[in-house]
Amino acid sequence: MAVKTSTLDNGIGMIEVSGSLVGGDETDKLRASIAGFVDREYQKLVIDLSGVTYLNSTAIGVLVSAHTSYSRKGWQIKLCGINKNINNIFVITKLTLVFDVHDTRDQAIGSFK
Amino acid sequence: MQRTIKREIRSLEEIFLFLGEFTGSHGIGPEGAYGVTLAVEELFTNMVKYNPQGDPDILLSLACDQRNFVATLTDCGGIPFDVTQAAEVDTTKSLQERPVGGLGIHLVRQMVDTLEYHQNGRCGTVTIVKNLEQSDAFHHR
Repeated sequence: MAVKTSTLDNGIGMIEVSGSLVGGDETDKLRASIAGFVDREYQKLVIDLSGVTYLNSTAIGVLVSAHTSYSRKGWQIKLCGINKNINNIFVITKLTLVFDVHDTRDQAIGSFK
Repeated sequence: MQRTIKREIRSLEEIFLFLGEFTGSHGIGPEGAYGVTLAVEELFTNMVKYNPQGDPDILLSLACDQRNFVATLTDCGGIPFDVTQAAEVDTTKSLQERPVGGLGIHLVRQMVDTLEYHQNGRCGTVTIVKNLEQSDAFHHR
């Protein structure tokens, strides 16, 4: 499992996650990465989940918390690359109505206003 | 098949392996496997987090037939918790209005077809059943 962060020239923060997110160290790394972008005031953030094979409610809680932090500031956060099983979880929890989800990273980046 | 699992989050890896071996050897397709795996993982995680004073081990049993995939978790000692009585999460509310917690049990309820709880003495047993006759739950038999 890995969490990689990068920044794009246009002020967009990027977090690329792979493996399983089950509430252990890997989920803590994701939480810390998000907090790092908030602290550095990156107002646009993409979380690429295309490498994530499994995700539980604790990890969803981290994503929800990130969404709350960003939306309260009027900032934008996008998700991309979620697989069928993870999308099913988002549908069940109605988070598809909350998050701005895109198929690919390029689509997510291109959707920022 | 059953296995005794240590009451700690790092045991999730062992649970995933156990479930993977079982679903693979019984020809259970990805949908059935994913639903039960997620439900078992959420229930086990709740037992670890919210019943730390329970016995050191939790018993996980798996069984399946042509129709159903059944998993049971037996948690002894500590504070009994009837998961079937947990409050529903109102997913129609905004994120800010939703109370913290409860999402895992909500996922369990949605991912499996039956969720039951029985208390017997100092042990509580949660049983989940996934119907394998729906969709691609079964690869082959």
